[in-house]
Amino acid sequence: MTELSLSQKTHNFARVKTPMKLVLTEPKWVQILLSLIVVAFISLFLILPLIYIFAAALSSGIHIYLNSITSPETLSSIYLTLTVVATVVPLNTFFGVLLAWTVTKYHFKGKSLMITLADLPFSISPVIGGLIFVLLFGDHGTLGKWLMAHNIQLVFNTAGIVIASLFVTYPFVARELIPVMESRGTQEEEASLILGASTLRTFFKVTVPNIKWGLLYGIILCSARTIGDFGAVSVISGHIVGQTNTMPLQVEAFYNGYQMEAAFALSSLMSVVALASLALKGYFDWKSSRTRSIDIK
Amino acid sequence: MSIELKNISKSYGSCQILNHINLTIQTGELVALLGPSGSGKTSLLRVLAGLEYADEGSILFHGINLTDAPIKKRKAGFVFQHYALFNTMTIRENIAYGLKVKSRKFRPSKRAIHEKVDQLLHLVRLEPYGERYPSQLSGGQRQRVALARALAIEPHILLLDEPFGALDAKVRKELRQWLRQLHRQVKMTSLLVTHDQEEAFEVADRIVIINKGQIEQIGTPSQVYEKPVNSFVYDFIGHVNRVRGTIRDGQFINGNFKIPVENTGSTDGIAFIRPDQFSIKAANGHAANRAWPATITHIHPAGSVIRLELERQDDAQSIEVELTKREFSQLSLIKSQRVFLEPKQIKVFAADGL
Amino acid sequence: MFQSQLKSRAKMKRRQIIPGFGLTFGLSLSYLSLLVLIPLSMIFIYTSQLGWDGFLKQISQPLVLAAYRLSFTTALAASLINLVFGTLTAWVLVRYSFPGRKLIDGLLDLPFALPTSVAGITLATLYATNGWIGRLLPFKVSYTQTGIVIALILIGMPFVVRIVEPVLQNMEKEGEEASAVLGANRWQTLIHIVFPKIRAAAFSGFALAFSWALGEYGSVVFIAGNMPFKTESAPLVIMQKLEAFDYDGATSVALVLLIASFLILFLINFSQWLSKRKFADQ
Repeated sequence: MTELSLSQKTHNFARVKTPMKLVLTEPKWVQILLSLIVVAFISLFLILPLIYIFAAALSSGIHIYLNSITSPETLSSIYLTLTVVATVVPLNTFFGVLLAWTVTKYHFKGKSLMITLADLPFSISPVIGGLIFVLLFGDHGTLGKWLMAHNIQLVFNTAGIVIASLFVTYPFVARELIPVMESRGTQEEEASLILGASTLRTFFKVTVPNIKWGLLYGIILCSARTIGDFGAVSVISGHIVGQTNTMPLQVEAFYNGYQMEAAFALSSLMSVVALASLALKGYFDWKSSRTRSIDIK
Repeated sequence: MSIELKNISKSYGSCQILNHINLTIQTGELVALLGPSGSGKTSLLRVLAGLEYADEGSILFHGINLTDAPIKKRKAGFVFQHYALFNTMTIRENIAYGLKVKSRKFRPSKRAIHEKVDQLLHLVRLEPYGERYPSQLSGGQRQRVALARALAIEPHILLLDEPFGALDAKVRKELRQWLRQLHRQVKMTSLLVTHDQEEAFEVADRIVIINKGQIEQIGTPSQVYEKPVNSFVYDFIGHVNRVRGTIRDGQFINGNFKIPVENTGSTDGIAFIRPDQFSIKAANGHAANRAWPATITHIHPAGSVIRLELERQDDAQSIEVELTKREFSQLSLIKSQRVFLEPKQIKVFAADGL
Repeated sequence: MFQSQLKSRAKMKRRQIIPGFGLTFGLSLSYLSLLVLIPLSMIFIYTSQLGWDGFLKQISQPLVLAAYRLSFTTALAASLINLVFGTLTAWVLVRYSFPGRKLIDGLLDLPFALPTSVAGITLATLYATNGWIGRLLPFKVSYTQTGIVIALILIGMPFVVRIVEPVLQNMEKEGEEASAVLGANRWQTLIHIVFPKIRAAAFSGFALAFSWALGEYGSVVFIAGNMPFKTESAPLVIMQKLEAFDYDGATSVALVLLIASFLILFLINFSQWLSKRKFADQ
């Protein structure tokens, strides 16, 4: 606000007097034009599709909508997705925190290589994320044959979906934590150790309170990606309706079966989850920036 | 509890941080490690605390070898430059932390912890602030909390890493006096790292001057100030004027200036003269070979001493001189006046290695 | 020899201050290996069994080459558009204030949070010839390359904004002020002072969005329509080959994509290293 009014003043001054070049922001009309372009871009590519999801879901009335989201296929997909989330998120939270702790609190060679490798699942195609497990556990590999002989099935079923989701969402918690933990350094942990605390206690009493907002956001992101992953799960699920369909896969099944209301009804549920996670993120950001500003003071 | 450091060395890659350090600290003594930044003084302190490990050498606490002991075994109190308080805990919780994390067998009762925290809050004069958070305190108060927290576990030794470095000058001065008093009360073997000589001189029983990972001199404050053993210490402690010259036949020679010295052989040398070790004579008659002719270029009448800047007439070197107010008014000096500068005390070191 | 080795190992081991390094490092590395490294190496192992000729034969099929070309051009187009609009968005969000700014800032992460299949079916119906937007347009979008680009714009939108935003926020205004005082006009200041500082970040965001777009599947599959040679991108080809149990083909196509991702990752790290070295004092 102050910045804006200040620039206006300078601008008026410049117009009245000699053409002064001391203008620290763009002219008002440029600001408005640029803001409008951005708002239009975001509206077209982001907000309009979001509105459309809910409009399409409710297009045939609330009654049909409620029926769609309580249909057996929908419910079973929700159930499967929740099962996957309940397995994947705790595991990846544990190992994500462990990774972040290891690379920020210790010195060792190859640390940045380790961070880069751990981040790989983020930057490669989710389809490849599914493919590698088909190659590893499918029936044409050595391991796959051995697993078959022992009646262990790790692809085209829930176990496969869990494994692929573990892969795809592995980096999310550590990605959030590493910058926070790096910037805090190790001094508080050192102080705790000197006062006689064990590593575990130091972690829970000193480290966790400092990173909790980042950690929560990492968990939210990890959950959102687990719910929403499509490519990897598509490859590894084998498309057996009612048995191995997660929510995104069920959306696809509805869509391909021309059940548009059902597809968008389920989509609307996932959109609500996505919006809720964004709202939570905003809240965490606000919380952590508040604690940080107190720190500085 | 006495501390003995034997032959401690440490390097990072090709950079030698600590180079064969030998140091003994007596029980109840407060020793200051004084040196420029990057001299290795903080590393030495961290090696003592177990926050870093030396490559070679050994550390003895009261005769017991603790070189490879983990942090916990050393029972050292450590005060960090930037406090390192736990900012998600209140002041009370911070101070009680070291007691609460003790294993059940050694942990005092809740009441005992409460009383201990009360005592410590009283000791650091922060009784009203127990329920506040570190972010609600000033820097000086935070550092007092850090000290109370360190003392809570009744450490064998107290290690202070530039404890007042992040504070402003006035608070620093107050805390220094307070620390001195506190040390008199608790009589704990303490090691203070600082780059502030005033702090070291005011607080410490003994001072260890350290540079480039090596100990240059160990001594009481007056020993270090009055009798620096080498040119580094001379340069580092207080202001000093340096005059280059040559040493020949038991004399230090600079232009016409000659003075007998203890150094033997003939080599280049540097003479060190403190600003308060000059006597100024009016420039009538010609210069004796024990004084330099100089012109006053600047007079700073700051505080109890008057600082003069002079320029030598023979080679234009600038010299700093300090006079007491009385000396200054007796001489009634003015700017641009020509005078003779006679060093009352001069220390000459051979220039090799400088 | 042996002794010195022993000593240096002891030195290595002793350097950790916080106890528990062995356990945490061991667990992290094991999990990383089991979940990421060993599975990923399957692509390399599997392709190496095909031999160089077999691999080349797989990836030189006209269908595959067309898919690579399509993936590359659509990803490039989408991430270039995102580079321009993303930088602009970051600038507007950091420097200006207007109603709805906070809301837009918050919604920008939606493409990360929203399942890609949801985005896919939504865009496919929106841009269908009888859809809300498709109806208004004189040309076809769904089942064309334009449709793919639109989907990739949506899913790649946050990258540039989220990387450039903090750089703009942390930028000292002094540089701009100095430039203005020295007589530069606003445009000159932007070109000479602001752009050089956000260039590296914007490039990283662009490269990430590009890499992400290359591998995108969920949002593309619905709007693309999977017409071979026309709208079948590389990930779609992998999927189609898998469904036909053509593992040789799928893995070969995947290997090229994987190497492309590695190259981009390397480029990003390298450019960050360069700019870090250049502005080391910051």
